[in-house]
Amino acid sequence: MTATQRGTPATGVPSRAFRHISLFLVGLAALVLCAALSLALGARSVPLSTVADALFGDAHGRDALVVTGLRLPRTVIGLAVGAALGVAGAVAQAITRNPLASPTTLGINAGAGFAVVVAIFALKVDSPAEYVWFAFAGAAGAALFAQALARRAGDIDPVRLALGGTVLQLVLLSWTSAVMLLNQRTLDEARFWLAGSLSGRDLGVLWPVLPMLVLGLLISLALSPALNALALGDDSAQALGVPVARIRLAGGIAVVLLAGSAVAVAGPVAFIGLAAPHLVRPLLGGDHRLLVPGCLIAGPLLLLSADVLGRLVIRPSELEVGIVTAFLGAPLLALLARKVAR
Amino acid sequence: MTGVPEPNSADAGATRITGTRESRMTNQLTTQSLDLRYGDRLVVGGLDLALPGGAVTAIVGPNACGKSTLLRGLSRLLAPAAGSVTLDGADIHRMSARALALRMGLLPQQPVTPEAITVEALVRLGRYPHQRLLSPWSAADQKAVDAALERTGTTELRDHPVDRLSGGQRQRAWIALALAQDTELLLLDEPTTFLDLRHQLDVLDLVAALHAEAGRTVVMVLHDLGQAARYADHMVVLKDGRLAAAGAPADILDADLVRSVFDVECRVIPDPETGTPLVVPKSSAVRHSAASA
Amino acid sequence: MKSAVVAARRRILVFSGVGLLALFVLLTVSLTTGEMSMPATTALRALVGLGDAGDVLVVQQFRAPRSVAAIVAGAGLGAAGCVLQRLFRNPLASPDVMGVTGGASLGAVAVIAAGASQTLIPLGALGGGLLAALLLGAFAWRSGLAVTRMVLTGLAVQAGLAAAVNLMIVRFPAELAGSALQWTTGSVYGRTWTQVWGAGGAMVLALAVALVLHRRLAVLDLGDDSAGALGLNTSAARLQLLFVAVALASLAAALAGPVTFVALAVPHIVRFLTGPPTAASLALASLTGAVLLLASDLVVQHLLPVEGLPVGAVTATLGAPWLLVLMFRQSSPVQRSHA
Repeated sequence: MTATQRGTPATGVPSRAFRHISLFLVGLAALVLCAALSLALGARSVPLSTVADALFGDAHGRDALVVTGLRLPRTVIGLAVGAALGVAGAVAQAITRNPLASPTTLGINAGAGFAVVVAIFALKVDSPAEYVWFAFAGAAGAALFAQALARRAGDIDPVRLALGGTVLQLVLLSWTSAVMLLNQRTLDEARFWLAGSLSGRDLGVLWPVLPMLVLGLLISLALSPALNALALGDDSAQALGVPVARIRLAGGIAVVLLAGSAVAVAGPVAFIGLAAPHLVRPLLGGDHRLLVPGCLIAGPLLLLSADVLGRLVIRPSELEVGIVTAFLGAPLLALLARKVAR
Repeated sequence: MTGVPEPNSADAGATRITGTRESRMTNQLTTQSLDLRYGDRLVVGGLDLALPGGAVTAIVGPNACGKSTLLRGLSRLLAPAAGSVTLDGADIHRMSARALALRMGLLPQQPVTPEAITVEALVRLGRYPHQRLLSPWSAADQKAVDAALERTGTTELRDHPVDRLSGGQRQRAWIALALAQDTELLLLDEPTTFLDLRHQLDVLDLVAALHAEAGRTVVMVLHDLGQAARYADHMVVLKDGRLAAAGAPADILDADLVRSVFDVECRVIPDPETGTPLVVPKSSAVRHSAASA
Repeated sequence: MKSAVVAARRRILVFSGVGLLALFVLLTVSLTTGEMSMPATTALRALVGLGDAGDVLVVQQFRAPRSVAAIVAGAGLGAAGCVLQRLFRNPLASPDVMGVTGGASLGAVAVIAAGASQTLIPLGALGGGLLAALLLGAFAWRSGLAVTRMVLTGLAVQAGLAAAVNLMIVRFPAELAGSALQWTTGSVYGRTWTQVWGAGGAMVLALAVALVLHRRLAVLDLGDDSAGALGLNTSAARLQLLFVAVALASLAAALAGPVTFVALAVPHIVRFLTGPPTAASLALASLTGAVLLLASDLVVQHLLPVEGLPVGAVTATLGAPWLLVLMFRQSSPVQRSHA
């Protein structure tokens, strides 16, 4: 038991720590590279030197404006949203003890989508900055539902939880479609937002949710040791002195804050929360004190890569990042299925 | 269940085993250099066995020695990684599943009981190999089911849900299913492991009776060496997936075998009731000094 | 205990009787109500071609095909859900979570995207549903078809196909996006007799096959070991049953679009009212599905204050309480295979 808590046996400490640190550094470097590419690539490729000039220097040309005006906010939002989703996925998987849990599979994204569509229809709001709070509320509602499930979960069959989330998603999507069909304007307005995208958002959308996002991250980091204990099973965790119900509640709140913020800003982006922990676990192990920070890097890495891909794949037009992640995430889920189930 | 002779009492003896070798369909299961794997792990290796037809065979051994795996290999549930399993000379994996099901019935280790299924409905499923795609339920099918219920003493229970029965009754219902299948071979995977003493003996007595009446060949995996010695004509002892010994209990079960296979110091004495070998572990002082010696 | 068995059988008979009666009543109601409402006798006579030409037109060309379509699709969905839930031993299994519904949507939307004639849409839905099943089979097969893997792979297939549909909805010009969206939620509006006969005939065939294979479900329920020992090739049987269920759901989708929740909820309703699965379960599920979908369609047409909602939205709404009940119930899954 102490091995899981400490994470490293006495003899391996130096080499393990070294490995972890170097992995983190590699991850950070990859992220920086990704961010740079995000600034440089797109319908119109901007050479890296111009990017640097635009950011740190004085360039005012068209290219520079594209960088500072469009791509910089987009990249920053991508970093924030990716981080939020990645960590939300890690925490969700920990509190439900289910490798398939994530904001997507638990229906949280769908909840946000529904709330936004209703807002567009009933209250005639029409810009992402205005949707923000509705998205947040919708995500929270669906998350509460999933949270209630998780609380009774204990050892709920992971398949059942995943199916339940999907069924919840189906209800919400059906209602969402119904509302969109009632009114052409709603349809026009909503269908783009529902695809999940980083474009067309300026930083003004991010600031309002930033405090909640940061709070969610802090809670997740603080919970990491307790999440390790939770992985052993409710009974064992309780025996170790971990207040299981309270930890689950706190974890649930963190997921709501993180996923809600992410969806509020970028719309429902699929699978990042599912993929990030699975990417990090083979490299850093299941210790949440490493896993959560790892997802903090892996999430944005995945999201920005998907975004860049979306910009390149049908140049000069763009594919929304939510659609790219859905296409990439579905085979991932299928592969996970082969791994999780004999 | 009174009146059933102990199969291995001293007077019954060797004639039972050798006598049946002369019958026409011998129902003899043999393995040749059988390897059984789960994934990459070799569980049973290079096993050459000949299980006598028309006899009761017990497969014993320590945990994880491959007993249940062997049984699954013998019943076609697990395909051999190497070697073969033959029934009267025919490779069972070349037979169709249905053909084998008409000859061999299986009671699995922890049978999965569908929710609220009645005993009769369960036993009826045993007729599946006999039914063709569009055939309706025939009188012969009903007769087989009734006979199976009668033989296992579960006729009064026929409308009871199986999952509400006691452990012993449930096992009998599952044995009735295998009986309704009307096979000459019966394979049982740890039929007594989760039962209390009374029900363990009930099940074993039933199995012995089924063998005695119709000469059925029985192969069962057992944990308890004493029970195995009492009820089996032939014993197969496995260790680490290999054959440690095979033969009549009286011939092979001795202290040396128990020491080498189970790592327990013991004394083997004749059972006061039946005369079959009974394993009595030595006192713990003796066993621990033997271990450190 | 004999009385329990007798009581169960009686329940089944009562349930079937009530179901058939309800079906007849609802069908009559569907023929009589609408913009031109008419008394029941007139409607029934018009159905067979007697009476006022205008009445006959309305009943025969508009109302009857729509209602029969709902009945046929509902029957297929109920049966599909019944087979899938037993096959997967999971109360949440249904074509909706396995990609079949998503595939049907995709097929329909692809036809719209290609600008092809509207009459080809049902074929597109059918093809899409079958494609989803193929993907599922291909990904989930690894020396056999294990239950958990099938369910999870189904989720993945559903997600991927839904993404593809979403892509098209986003890429389409606004006018097409609306009709594409329509086809992602299920509707029986405007069905013609050709469509109904076509899908209906195939459905009858599929139901017959399902009834023949139904016995295997009972054997599979015993667990892989016992089923294997009884001579059933478990993987082959699973594949066959899966295929039949997919065919049923795809045909239903071809007729009514991807209607959600009927396949999920119907087996639970049947179980709730008549007890654990029996030989009659499949037929009962078909009957219940037909009644449910027809009733939902009537609600959509006549009871809702809003015009033009697809029936899929209603079924989803009706399905939500079931969802809540299912997800909060603490019982373990129907069976678990033991190691």
